[in-house]
Amino acid sequence: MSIYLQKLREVQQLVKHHGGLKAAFLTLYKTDGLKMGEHKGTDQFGNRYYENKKFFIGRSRWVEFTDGVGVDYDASMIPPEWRSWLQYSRDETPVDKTVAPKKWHGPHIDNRSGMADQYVPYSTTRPKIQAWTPPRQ
Amino acid sequence: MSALGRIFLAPRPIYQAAVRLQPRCLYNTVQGKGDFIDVSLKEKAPTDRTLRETADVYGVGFFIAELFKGFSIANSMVLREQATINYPFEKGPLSPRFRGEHALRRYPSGEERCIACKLCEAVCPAQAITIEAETRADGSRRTTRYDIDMTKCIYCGFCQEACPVDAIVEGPNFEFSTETHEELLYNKEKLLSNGDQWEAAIANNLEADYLYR
Repeated sequence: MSIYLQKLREVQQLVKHHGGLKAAFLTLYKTDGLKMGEHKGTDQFGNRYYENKKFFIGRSRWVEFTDGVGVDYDASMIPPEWRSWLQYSRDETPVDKTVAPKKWHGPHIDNRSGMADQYVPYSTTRPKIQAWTPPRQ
Repeated sequence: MSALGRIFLAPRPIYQAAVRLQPRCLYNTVQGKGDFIDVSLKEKAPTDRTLRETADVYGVGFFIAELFKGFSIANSMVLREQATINYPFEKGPLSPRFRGEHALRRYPSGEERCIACKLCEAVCPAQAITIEAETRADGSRRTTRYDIDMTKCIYCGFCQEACPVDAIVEGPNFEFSTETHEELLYNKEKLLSNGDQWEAAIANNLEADYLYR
């Protein structure tokens, strides 16, 4: 019986952590799960990153996408530095260890496939064949 | 005796004879004596049951006890810890040697690394890389065309091993799926912009793996 009471208490804590019943329900709707963890940082897009080492590796770090995207979230919205942390390639978060970007570092662009500004291939060389224009008489 | 009891307690000589006299299966793999142990639950024939046992059997059926048992197992699974990863919010561990989307890197000064030696083009087993080179205005040799057909590529990583200047690398990105084929025909601009975008993660991976390179 006490285990059920403990579960109930956990649910109560989760709802409190997510800021009320409505917000918790919205998070549950978006992410199919409620988790509690330490807020490790926020990236330039507003995605929030959390860690809780109580979970096993693979579930111990997670992201909550910025509220603006709603349910149109995509994994490619996570910038590379945070993605390395999220995929356990590095242990320090970009907040703990920042590397000054070079001026040629580009902005992070998510996967634009299917949008109006998607990548369309083009040739980067000049054409090898010059068209012949027939002489006018 | 009730009518129901009489129905179930009635002897069934025809049924029992059919069971006893059924032919032996030709495809039965157990040959000979059949020296296996039968661990299935033996149900008593209705004629051999006591009144209490009969009441137990019908009680289980009447109160759908087995259904409730199944539901309770499903319920307990809801409260247990999940064994799955909730992608894209959570992700599995990724090796620094992971070979994902290609990128062309630059030197810290911003100069592009690729010198158009075409080693990657030569080593590519899928022949996915096309390179054309020209002399640039300042006299240095650079590519004018660096195309990778990502749908031909088999992500073997030979190109990044062949590269003498660490220009072409396979970065950690694997989330570049597209809706059309043509979006996966990468040209030089796209590869360079990939490199600019992913340099933070690529440098991190190279740093993690430098002892083994």
